Amino acid sequence: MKNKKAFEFTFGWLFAMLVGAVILFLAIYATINLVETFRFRHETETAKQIGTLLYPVETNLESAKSAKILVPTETRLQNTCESVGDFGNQEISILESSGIGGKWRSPDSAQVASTFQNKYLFSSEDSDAKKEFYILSKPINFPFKITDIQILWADTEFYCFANAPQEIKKEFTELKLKNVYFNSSKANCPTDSTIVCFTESNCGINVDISRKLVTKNSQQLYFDFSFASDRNSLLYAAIFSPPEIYNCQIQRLMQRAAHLADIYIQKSEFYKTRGCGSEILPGILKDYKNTAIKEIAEETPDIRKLRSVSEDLEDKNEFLSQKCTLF
Amino acid sequence: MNSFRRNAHYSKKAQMKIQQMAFVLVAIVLFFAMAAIFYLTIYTADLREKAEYLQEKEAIELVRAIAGTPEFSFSSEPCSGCIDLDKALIIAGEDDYEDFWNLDALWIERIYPKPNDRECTQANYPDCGQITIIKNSGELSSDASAFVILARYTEENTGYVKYEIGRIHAKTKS
Repeated sequence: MKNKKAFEFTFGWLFAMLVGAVILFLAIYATINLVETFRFRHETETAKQIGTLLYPVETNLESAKSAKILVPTETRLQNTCESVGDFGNQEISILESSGIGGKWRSPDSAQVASTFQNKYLFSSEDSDAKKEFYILSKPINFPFKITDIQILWADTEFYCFANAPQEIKKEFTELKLKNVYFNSSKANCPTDSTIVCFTESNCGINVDISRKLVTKNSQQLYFDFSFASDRNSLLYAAIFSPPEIYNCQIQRLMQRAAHLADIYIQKSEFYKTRGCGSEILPGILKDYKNTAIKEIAEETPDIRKLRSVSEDLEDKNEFLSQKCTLF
Repeated sequence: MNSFRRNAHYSKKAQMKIQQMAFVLVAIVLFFAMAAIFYLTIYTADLREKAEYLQEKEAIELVRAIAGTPEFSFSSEPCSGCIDLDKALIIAGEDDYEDFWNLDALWIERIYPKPNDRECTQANYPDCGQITIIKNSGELSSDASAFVILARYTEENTGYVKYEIGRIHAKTKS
């Protein structure tokens, strides 16, 4: 008996299904790979663009500058610091969220970080922004200008400064910086924010202004007040970055300071030949350089150790006639 | 025997159908492969353009900002965007700064007054026209330049700070 309604499953059908499945598999595989390549390319471009965007944010004669970076999709900025070499490296890489594949590309997958020797970014290791990144650029003068640092946080990170000094509140308000709240006590801070206490204890971040100490994750970070009008640069850097990033960047700042001290030693010798030099300054600059080099080797570098030699340097430099000052 | 012939006849027809289908499938695969290659060619060309654009942009931004960096800034007197020519000459002799700005070439040209076209050295300074901080490796790359104020202390007339017009040039690494 032959069932006339039965479907005849011929070899042709079987063959078409097999080859169709292979083609479909290859098409899906190729699409996923292409999307991954697209993401990789776009992330590399964005990392480079963010690095380039940091140049116009740098200060000249100003004591601070602020900026905002808008991102089209949810973006993760990865901050990596290395203190090897003459100036160390600042690496910036970007991950963009996607509906295809995982939300973020796997950390093991190919990634090209934009590397800079002349930038100092203080932020979380991973900053996730839904739409915006906020940047505060501050110069570091110790006593001469060492560099500009950039402090970055995302729109998903909230900070609450409990009983902060008036000058800090004024600066943040004037620069219209977002996601940083000011309250008289930690009890009034939003629960989803990182609480930064200036007078109270047992907070996420504790600041001891008189001892120039910031304590976070049970680790102590040393900061010091910058010379000139931009006093709080390193205090902000310590608040907004984890200990690993902060200590590494301080080591890199010391590397830069040591190189600049070298330049001023040579400039001083230059001036001497034109009857405008100082006999004492090169010696103090050498002490400054040696102190900085010593701190580079420390796991937790202490910038406070540069204070006395910096003050001495500033005094002796100011003592020279204005046209002969080194910095 | 008759039945065997009939089966053989059906088999040939099926083989033809299979071959037809195989050709169609191969044609589809080839079509998609060619489309993908065509797309990737355009994509790669665009990638090169984009990379050059980003390099050029970095060079422009860097040249604008470089006068404000402590290695170049003239800080004895308040002067925004002034380059300390003495410091520039010192840095020109420092190998550590070779990779610092991620540049392929960096030089400062004295525009006015321009004593001559000679390269500045410790021996002929300030009677020279150009300070090369990073020597061009010869690779083709994006370049940018900006006019700057050059400042230096001179011992002439009991000593004063002399301001000149200059131009800073930068080429990014390709």
